[in-house]
Amino acid sequence: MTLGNGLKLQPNRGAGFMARLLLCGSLALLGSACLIPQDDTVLPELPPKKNAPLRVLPQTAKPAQRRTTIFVGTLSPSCPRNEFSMTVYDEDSDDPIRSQWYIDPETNYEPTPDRPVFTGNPIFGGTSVTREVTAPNAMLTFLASLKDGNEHIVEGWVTDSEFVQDAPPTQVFRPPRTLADGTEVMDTPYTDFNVWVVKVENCQ
Amino acid sequence: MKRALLTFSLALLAGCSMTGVQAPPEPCLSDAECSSGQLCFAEGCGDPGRGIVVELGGDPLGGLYARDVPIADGTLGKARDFELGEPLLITGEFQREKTGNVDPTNRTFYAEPVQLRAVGQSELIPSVIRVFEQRFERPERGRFVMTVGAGRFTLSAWPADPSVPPASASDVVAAPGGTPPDVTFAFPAVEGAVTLSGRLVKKIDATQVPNVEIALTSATMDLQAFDPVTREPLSQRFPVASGTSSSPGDFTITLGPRAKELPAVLLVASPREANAEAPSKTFTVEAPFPNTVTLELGDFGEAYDVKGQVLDALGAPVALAQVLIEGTVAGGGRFRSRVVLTDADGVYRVRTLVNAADQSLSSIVIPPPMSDAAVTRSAVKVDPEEADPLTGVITLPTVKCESRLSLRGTVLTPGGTPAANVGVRAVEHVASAEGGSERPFPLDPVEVITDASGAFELKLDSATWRVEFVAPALPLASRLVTVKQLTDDKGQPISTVALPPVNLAEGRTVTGRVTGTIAQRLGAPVPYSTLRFFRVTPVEGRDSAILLGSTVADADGRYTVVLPGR
Repeated sequence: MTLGNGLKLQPNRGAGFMARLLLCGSLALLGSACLIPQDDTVLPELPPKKNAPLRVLPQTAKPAQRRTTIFVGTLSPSCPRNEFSMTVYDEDSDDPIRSQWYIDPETNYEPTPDRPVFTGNPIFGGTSVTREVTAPNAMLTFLASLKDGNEHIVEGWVTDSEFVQDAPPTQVFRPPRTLADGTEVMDTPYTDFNVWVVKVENCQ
Repeated sequence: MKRALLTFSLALLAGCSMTGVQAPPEPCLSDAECSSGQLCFAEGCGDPGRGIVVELGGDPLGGLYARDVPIADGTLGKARDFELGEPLLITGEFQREKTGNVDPTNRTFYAEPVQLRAVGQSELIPSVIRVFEQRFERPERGRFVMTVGAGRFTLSAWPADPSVPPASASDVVAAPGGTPPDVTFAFPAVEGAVTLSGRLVKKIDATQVPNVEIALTSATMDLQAFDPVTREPLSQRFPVASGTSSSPGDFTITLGPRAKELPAVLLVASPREANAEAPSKTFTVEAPFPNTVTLELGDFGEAYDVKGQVLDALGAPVALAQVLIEGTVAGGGRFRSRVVLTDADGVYRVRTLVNAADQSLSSIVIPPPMSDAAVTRSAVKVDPEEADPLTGVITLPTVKCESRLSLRGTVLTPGGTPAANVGVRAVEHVASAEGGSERPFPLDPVEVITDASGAFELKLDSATWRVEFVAPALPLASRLVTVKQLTDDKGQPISTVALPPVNLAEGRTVTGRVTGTIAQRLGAPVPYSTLRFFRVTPVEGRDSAILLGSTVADADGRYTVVLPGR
């Protein structure tokens, strides 16, 4: 390197030695730092995933209109087949979806011969997060007898757990889950529902 | 026990249904049997990329109802957005004739409450039924605007005043892109309507002179008139007098002017209350209509408590089975009991009328879905002389149900390995449910999932079933299976039938977004819209819709679906 006055700048041999020494020392320190024993702390396992709430997607309900009329009679093009269904969203695709259907339920949902509870088939779905739940045909048969000119309430309840027999559909239970280490986990069960107001008319 | 292969009803059509060209059916059991570019569906081999129509459920809560979008052959790529546009409307006016004549120039608007119903079908997807209705409390100058989905509809307008007969209009098409159809309903003037008066009695005692009418006092009945050919209603439902303000059984029923042109009308008498112990009966009244008519419901007698027990083929009680009794009762009317459940001992109790002298009633038993017992219909006679002298209860013969058939099979991945956790859902085929079956209603769907070895077992009643296989990230696979009671060469019933292995195929993923006009917001995402992808193709001479796949969009209207395709 040449300075502006024509003098050449000579490298400082003593400084270079010191720099190399420093570099080696630093590397040695870094290297040895890797060998410093660490605390033998094992991260705890992730907590078990909680049961996610399910919910009815009201946009998917059939009949599409909440206040509707069904026509009962023979199965023919002029008497369309009636269907009550709704799609349920549940992140826990392993959970079977169970459904119960009520016609004009009392506030305590107590089943009587005039107000039976209709239980739908459990829907397993495999791996899908959305599943369609359909009212059992027996409910439609019962509904068909209600041609009294009045409007009737049809309620479809779903749960990701199990309904308690002869109890309101808000009371559901979920058996405890046993983890790999034998710990039992209690999950929160969930319910949701959809409502239709239905009038029944003759169809020939 | 010998196993039998199921009878497969597989019909298949190649080619595009939209052209209406029908190809001969080609039964298939696997994709390998299909020609290049085709896959095996429940209905037979077919090109999954042709004849596709998408049904979009829309957002019913936002007034955006279902409509259908045809996809031109070969244009469905990896991404496809759907814009639903504005809600579809039917507009029109309620009018009333001023005189007894039908005269479009001499009418006034009808501004009283009216219930308007639209019952119809999709124009693009066969067998998809759509029903809408709306109540107009005070239609201003009789005008109405009704929001509907796409389709071809029969509209019927039902005034709240029962003395005004309903009016109807058929072949009303609601489709995107056009002017909403405008429909006029003209209700008849009082003098233009047909009035039928008379009395509904239980029995006319012809042994007395003059004849003695025995009044019907045990049930509240309704009467309604229908066209005997089209089965369209000609009147509203009219209550038959219970005797509080007039003689029991008196009625006056108002029919539309169309009744004047008919050679006869049907009058249907049916009990109003669900638990009424009275039958329904249909009467034919021929033109010219008499001033008064007497209708005899028949001496159907009293209802009795009956009980019985339901057992499976091994003699074990069937609990939680649904039981009802129906049939022709004394006097010629049709009776259907309420639906009751069996208890833990398989015992049911129900009230029923007595069968007609020369006929039997039917008891229909529908065991719960996971039971081995099959749906069973058996003839029963209700004999009052067999009533228990203390309790008055009649004990019916025990119903012994046959066993449901066990449908077993295995599902394999596209790589040929066992496919675990695959949803297997059996739904009774529409033709099977409506094909003169002796059941009062279709069978409920049955669903299971495959185990670790890909195996499944479904307990099914005798019927034609569409069996669908739903696996993650793979397209829907389906088979059409007719399950029948078979016997082996020793005459023993065969309880298990085997379905050939079902190989799931690779599919193609389609993603996109559903938008529409919601609350006057153009291009708004349509939340949670259902999307069903059909292949429309002729099967056995009739256009049929084959479900290729379905999904539900998310809150932002975004969807993903896996469809069959190579």
